[in-house]
Amino acid sequence: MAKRHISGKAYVLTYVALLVLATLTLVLSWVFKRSGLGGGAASLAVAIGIAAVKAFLVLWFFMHLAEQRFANRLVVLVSVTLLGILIALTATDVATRHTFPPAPRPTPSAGFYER
Amino acid sequence: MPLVLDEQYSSWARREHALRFGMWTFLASEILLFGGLFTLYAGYRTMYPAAFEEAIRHNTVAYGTVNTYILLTSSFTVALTVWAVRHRRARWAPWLLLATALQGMAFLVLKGFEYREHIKEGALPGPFYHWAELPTFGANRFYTLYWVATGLHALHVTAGIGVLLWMMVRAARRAYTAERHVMLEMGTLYWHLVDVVWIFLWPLLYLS
Repeated sequence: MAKRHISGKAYVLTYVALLVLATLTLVLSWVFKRSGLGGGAASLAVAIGIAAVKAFLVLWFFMHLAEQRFANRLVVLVSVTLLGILIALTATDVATRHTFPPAPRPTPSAGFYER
Repeated sequence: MPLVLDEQYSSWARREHALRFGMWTFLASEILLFGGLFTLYAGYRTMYPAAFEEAIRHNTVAYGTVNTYILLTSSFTVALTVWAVRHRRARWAPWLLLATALQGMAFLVLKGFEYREHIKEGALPGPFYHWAELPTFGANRFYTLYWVATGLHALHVTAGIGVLLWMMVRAARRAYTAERHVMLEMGTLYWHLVDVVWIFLWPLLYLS
């Protein structure tokens, strides 16, 4: 198994990219709040999208997936895909199943929040 | 690190691949462990979107953000450890591992301060929740998930610090060489996983 190790420069670039993306996430969350759009689905989607890019950078460079066999990448690919399906279907079920009581039910008992 | 290759492996490369593959399989099980919590978050947020957004606005962005930068930097220093060992600068390795462990401890200290504020306010999980400012069932769900997710994550940080300190001792004894350092690689993978989980927890609990 011939291996080409990730260079020191790649580590530094990955770190810088992570810092930039984290700062971008922070700035965008402020922009979404200030612009009156509130938090909401769009803000969440953008933040999670950036987080996914950051996670990929960590996995690919810091965790050396770039220099490893495909079998190891497959493990990540399968678990992330299954988790994605789990989350998407659960959210879809909750969003479309009208038998669910709307928020804020179930009503807590009296004194529940005063303890 | 054994000097003699275990008999079930035909080469050192095979041994290293088997060890790495086992580590990745373990990490996949960790992804699914945290994945259950992310799934609950998706479900409850879909049910109580307004309460979740309000609860997020009540969390202190500074705590989550400083801890994000700490963990990103610690991921970098632990990645540099592998680089140092590979490039025959093994004497740097124990110091880089110590620096990483200290950042992990700093993370836990900040988390502790934040927990103290939540306890004061009464933003506690499940039936212990009694925060008058946000008296909704949705906020209760949010803070229950907040405590379970950050608590499980903090346990992983604690275990990770243990792994880092153990590797620091091993590195100080020059157990890792440029040719043979697969155990060091596997230990750092665990620390990076802690970082990856936080990368997702940060926006979900503090930002949007």
